[in-house]
Amino acid sequence: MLDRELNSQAALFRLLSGLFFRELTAQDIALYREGAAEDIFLAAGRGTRVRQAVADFRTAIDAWPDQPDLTRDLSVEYARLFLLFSHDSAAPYASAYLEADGHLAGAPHARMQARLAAAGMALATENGEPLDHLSIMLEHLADLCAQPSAHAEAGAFVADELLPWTGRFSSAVAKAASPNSIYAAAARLCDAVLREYL
Amino acid sequence: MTTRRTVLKGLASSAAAGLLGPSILAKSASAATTSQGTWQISGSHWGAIKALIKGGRVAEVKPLESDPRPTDMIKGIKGLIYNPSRIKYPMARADWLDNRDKADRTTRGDNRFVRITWDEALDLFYEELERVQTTHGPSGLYAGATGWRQTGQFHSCTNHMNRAVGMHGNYVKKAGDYSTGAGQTILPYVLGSTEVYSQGTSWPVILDNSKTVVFWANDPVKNLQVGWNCETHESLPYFDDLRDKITAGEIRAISVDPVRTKTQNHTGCEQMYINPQTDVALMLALTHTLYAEGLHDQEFLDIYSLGFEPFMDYVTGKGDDGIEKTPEWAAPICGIDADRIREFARLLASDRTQLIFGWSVQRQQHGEQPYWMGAVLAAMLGQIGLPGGGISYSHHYSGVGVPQSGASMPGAFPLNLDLGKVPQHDNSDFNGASTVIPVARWVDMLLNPGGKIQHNGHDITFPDVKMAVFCGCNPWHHHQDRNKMREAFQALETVVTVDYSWNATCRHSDLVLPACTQFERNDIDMYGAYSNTGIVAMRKLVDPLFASKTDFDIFTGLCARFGRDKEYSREMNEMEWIEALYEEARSANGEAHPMPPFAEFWELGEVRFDRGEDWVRHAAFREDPEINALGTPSGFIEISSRTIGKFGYDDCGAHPKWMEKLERSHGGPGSDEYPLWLQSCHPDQRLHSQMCESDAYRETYAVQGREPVYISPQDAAARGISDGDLVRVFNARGQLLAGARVSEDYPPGVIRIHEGAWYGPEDASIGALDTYGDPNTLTMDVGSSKLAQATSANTCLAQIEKFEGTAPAVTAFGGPVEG
Repeated sequence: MLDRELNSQAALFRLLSGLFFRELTAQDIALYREGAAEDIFLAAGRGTRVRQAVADFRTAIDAWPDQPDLTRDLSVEYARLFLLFSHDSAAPYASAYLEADGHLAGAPHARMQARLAAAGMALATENGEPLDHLSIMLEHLADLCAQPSAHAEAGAFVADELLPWTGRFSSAVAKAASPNSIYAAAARLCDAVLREYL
Repeated sequence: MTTRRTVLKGLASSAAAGLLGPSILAKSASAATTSQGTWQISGSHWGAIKALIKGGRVAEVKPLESDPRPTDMIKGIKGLIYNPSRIKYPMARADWLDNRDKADRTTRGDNRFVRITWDEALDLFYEELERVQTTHGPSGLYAGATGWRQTGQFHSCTNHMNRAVGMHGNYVKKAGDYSTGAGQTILPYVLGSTEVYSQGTSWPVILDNSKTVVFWANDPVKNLQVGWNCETHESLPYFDDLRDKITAGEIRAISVDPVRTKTQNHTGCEQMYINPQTDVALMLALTHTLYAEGLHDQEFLDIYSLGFEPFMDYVTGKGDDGIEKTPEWAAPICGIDADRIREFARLLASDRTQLIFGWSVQRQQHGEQPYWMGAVLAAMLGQIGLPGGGISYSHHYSGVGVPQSGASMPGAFPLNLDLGKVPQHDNSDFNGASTVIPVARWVDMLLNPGGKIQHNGHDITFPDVKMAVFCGCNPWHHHQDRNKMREAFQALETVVTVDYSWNATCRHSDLVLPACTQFERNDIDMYGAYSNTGIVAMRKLVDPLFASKTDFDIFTGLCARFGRDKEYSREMNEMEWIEALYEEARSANGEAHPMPPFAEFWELGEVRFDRGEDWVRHAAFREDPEINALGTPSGFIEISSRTIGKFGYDDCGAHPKWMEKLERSHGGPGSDEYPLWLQSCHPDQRLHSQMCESDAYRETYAVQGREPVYISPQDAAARGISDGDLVRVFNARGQLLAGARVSEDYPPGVIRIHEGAWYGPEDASIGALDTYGDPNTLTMDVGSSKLAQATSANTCLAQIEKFEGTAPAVTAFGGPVEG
């Protein structure tokens, strides 16, 4: 299943990437509740903030109502937050927070395109998501983390391309999400992990 | 940090792997990109453009250098492509997905959506078509509504929807359109063609021969910014010439309009103020004066027209109403002094006069009448068919008046089934209902299945429609009375919409399929819808964003569900179609209009033809009215129509008449309670509803984030409203928030909100406050008459007040918000 060898930190960023790229399912929730991600969470860091974020994420997973239409509810929440732009959503794109004109696929997308082209990477599927989508950026970060020689580059990438907006993204998700939302916890976890990384 | 890096050996087989999912990125031999980027030519409703492609995105858009008058709207194009409101993936309304035709329809427009795959989406689309055809037959499906689509001859979405859905089964279609419904119905009876979509007398001819030019409810300088195909803007410099001739005293131009128009401000022409919706009364009085003073051209009337006498009996008070339509009779209705009416009539008859009508005046109750009266007035002046004389109904549209090159233009992707082919469900039993509905009555159809109306000499029986399909068409912009629409949409079991941005039509749908914008696909278009100035290569600027697809791909996929995708596409791909359309035109043009081979054209980006010769509308008819007879029943100009008279309609008789409106300002019906006439004409800064979502550009004209409502200083002061204030505009049909723009261009009793402002109600309730300012929240949904059954949007009164309190957030842009 995994096409590239991962270390724990790379796996963590891959995990976070997936959380914002595709809807969680009832099966995912079950896996989390069984502790499937615990080894990966060990890479999150030891700081208070990040440990709290991990704990909050676990709490949110456990607290999410266990209804028969769990997958549907998660899909609705995901769509509302990340696919249906409105005043009640949280676009997962750097340009949405960094570009003055409000356009998607702005300069952050262009920079990501250059980065990925230089790395010989591209989107794996026929998908026209702007490349400054949080998940694509986290996946790229995971790739950097998997390369010992790219340590400095990974740090710069986090500082220059992610941290300038992930805090605002996390706040936007928190504002728009349902009470006790897994996605709000995931956005906080993402921001905390990135801050811990530096 | 390194110490925390523990290689997760065997992760692929662990439970954690199940959480990671497939990788988003993969190794790629991507093409090298240049830091400078590349410029590419494309086309649009707003003109031909050059786009800088840099960093995998459209970095800059500018007009083609040869565009003589680029529109400011070019600045909004990037905001269309990269708008957060883009439909990113196929989406389904959650309740509908679970319960389909049993779903709760009261939550439509205010419901949860979930992402589905393209395969799921197209399966659902097909299953619903199949269910409706087998359960209800063709009368259960409405798929005929069309709109201004994006430009491009191959990807024209209207054609794709009609061909694909028609390949599956028959369905209820529409007649007419919202722009010119009344005009295009009445004028074939009067002048033999719709006139509204016809080439007009060349501008150089008008400028050289006319002594008086009358813009009647017409603002071409505003409306010529956009075109049905790729707009050339070649007509706009003629208004500079007109301005110069007005200044030099060579032409006298008059704008008959309640509002001081952009054209008036540009050319410096005179204004003849008129009370809204009273144009027919003024024209009747003009004809009275012409007749009374012997200024009419009796010889022309005798040779070229029929039915003058019964009409003149009506004007002179010998008709049923016994009222003589004198200037004194018209003056209090029109708000114009009787002597000024007489002077105006004398001016029109004094020398060569070109009448140029706009379309807004026929988008009102009895909208057929002003167009018919215009033709009668022109006939009495006797100048129809002369250079710089007669009447036009189209000079504000898509470059009409620019001489046509005569070159053949590329055809389009076929709208219909291929010859000899029949639909999968070849059922023509509409359960006794009509197969074609006048477009502006389709909401009545939803609310009143089995109901009957009269239309253009026929009886219409409304079908019981269960499913509607829209593609590149936004009826939640162009139809009237939003709250009535909200109720009507609850009658539909399934609504499928193909579009690129989350407009209100998408939000009120069950299945929403993301089309890409025209800038994400290759296409070909004519350059100049009437001038045939050239052909433009619409090269794809960037790949389709998100999971969007071309309309061609979407409907090919739909047809594959019932095994007819190869027939649909004729087994040709996008570029093969474009080349075929080009080569067909190249072959037709031959030596007369030489064109380079396709590959060369595609590289160049455009091909241009020599300018055409000047032309005079109706000149051939004037030269020989028998050989070149008009398409009217008699072949002549029909001042009275026996055909229409036989219909026996009480709201459109055998000759044009003045009829009071259900609502009219300036002392008319309803003005005691709602004293302001709401004009909802074509916008100045978008194309109907296209580009309203372009956020940064919208901010250049929005007021406190809302659509502007233009109001006179007098009306504003009387209500304590200042320029820039947030206001509530309301009547018994609805309410909206807008931003006040106080302007001397507007007289007391008149307000304007441009149509095309996106609808965004505060909540799901019927009657909810529209948070952005869609004027059709307030407009009246009644047919113009039994003849055309066209839109009556400009028959609308409202009141306005300063908004106090906390304004709700604008909900018009983006996906649905569950209440």
